[in-house]
Amino acid sequence: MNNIFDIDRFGKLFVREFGTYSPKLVGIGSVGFGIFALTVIYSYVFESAPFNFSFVTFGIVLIILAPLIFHKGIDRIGSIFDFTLPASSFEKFAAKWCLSVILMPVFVIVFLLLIAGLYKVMPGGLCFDAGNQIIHFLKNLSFEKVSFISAFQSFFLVGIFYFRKHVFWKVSLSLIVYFLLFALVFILFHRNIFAGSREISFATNFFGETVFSDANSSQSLFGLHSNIFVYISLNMVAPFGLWVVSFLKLREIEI
Amino acid sequence: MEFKENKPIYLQIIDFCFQKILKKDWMEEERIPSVRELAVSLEVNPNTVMRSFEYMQAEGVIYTKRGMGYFVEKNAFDIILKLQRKDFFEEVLPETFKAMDLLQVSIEEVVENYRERNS
Amino acid sequence: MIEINNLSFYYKKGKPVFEQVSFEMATGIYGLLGENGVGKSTLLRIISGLRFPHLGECKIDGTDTFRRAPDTLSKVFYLPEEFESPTIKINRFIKDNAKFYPNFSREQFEAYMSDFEMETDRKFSELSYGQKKKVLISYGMSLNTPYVLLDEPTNGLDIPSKAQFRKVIASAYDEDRCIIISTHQVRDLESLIDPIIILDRNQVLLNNSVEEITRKLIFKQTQTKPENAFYTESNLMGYSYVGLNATGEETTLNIEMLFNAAVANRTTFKELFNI
Repeated sequence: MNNIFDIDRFGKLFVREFGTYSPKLVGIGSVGFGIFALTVIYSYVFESAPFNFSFVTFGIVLIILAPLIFHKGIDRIGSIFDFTLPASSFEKFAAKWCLSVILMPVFVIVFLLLIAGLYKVMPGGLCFDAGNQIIHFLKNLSFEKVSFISAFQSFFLVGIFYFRKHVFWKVSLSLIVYFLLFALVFILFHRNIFAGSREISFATNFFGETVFSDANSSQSLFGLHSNIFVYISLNMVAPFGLWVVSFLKLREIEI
Repeated sequence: MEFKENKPIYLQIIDFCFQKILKKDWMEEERIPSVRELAVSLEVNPNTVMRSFEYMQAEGVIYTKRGMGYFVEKNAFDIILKLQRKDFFEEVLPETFKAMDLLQVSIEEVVENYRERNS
Repeated sequence: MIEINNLSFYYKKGKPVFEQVSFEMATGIYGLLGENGVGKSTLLRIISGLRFPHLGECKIDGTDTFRRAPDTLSKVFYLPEEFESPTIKINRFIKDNAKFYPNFSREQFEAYMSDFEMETDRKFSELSYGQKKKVLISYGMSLNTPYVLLDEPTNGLDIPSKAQFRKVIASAYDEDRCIIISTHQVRDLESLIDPIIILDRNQVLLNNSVEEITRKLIFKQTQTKPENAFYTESNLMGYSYVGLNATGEETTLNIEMLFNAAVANRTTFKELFNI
């Protein structure tokens, strides 16, 4: 066991990784607070609710893209010291995993709570609702929403090990392809639904609730729990499967 | 240290050590630099120095005291003198004679040159 | 002990870098020689676990290097020829990385840094390539790993630094250590490296100590053109050549001549040195 996971060694590794990327978090936090300040100033200048910048969306995007934020590209020159560092591949994977899956969400939640709290105590009360909106969102986080975000993030986590560089574009492209494939499968499975309709629109709102509607009715995909393919795909294959795949890929990377 | 092309390095290191002893830079019964210290200052592989030390030990020029390093033997000066004299008559002098033949230098010219130098 | 057994490796199919190569490296200051592109860096990458053998195996103390086991990694330090240097302060780099190696010595690091006339409280980003290299060499040697792999370490060092480098290596070496220096700059390291490994065209031509080499070969200078020499070069004083040592005479190894002779007589050398 000692050769695969050693808590001391993992601790040292985590400290090293954190030290490398903490300036980025500080930068992001500063940008976030800067924007917050601007929205508050807007509110006072125009005597209305603060400028509608969705910190929630900002936070979710941060979490999803966390693997990219905590990654510096794998190449045959820059990654030598990382790969020759005496720690197991599992520990190296676990460090990246902790940063993306645990540290970033914690950071985002703390950040959102702070912003919400500050909104609520702004004198004048104009910002109060904005703060409440954030709190409301945090209170209503469902398992499905969390696992969806986690799943989305895990694509980027796999991406940093498979693609090594230009990860954002490559993963985004892959996701679009995956989505189209997935939509195709959905359509094939549910051909009977399409049987009578002539006009179909097919869209996804932010939370991945694929909404399918025609002139007569609309149904949301998340409501179709009987569609096992969808459920397994989003809640189980990703993220756990992708986490395993990421680790296995890391072990095989040669530079 | 700049090494000559035609003599193995370990032999040149031995010459270096012999010079030190003959010139009394390294005194008898005193400690000489360790294998590592000499390797560092001459910028050579420590194993090469080790080889030189082994040779010198075999000839009775140096000895080792456990845990303390290498020391110059009591009558090292005489031993070295004998070895170097042998080397002089077997290697250096024949080369000089060859050169004398080539350049047509007579032994009398050499003796005169020597006398002038020493007066 | 580094054991390489029937190692085969290629970057592109049909162009093997190593073809069924087998040899061992124990303790010593090994000189790894070979033409550009022959695979010296690749060999070091395989030993440090960055690349995996396609066929055959590479083991350090009995464990395959491709496993990247932390125990094995903690015994090896690899300094590549091209590296992306950290941008942080030197002391911070040491703090972050040295703790993974059980035998790191801060005193030794500072001693080597002062041998190189470098200060420890600077930022990497302020240093020139040669200076960064000196810091990394000091760092690597002070980790006290049993295996040290240096790829062209004197490349980029000015002349005084090369002398300092020789001193650092000579003082860092002990009987339990295997230091492998891959180099073209043979003259920088001539008196330091022993044994010598010559790689050529996906084979190993030589893996022998200087003593063995000078027992079997002679390196001489003559006025007249020699016959039956493995390699001959003409110069101002006549000819220098490498030949078979029939008389047991002791001559000084000239590594450049040795290399040229080996490459010109591949099969003969392999047989002569039992590869």
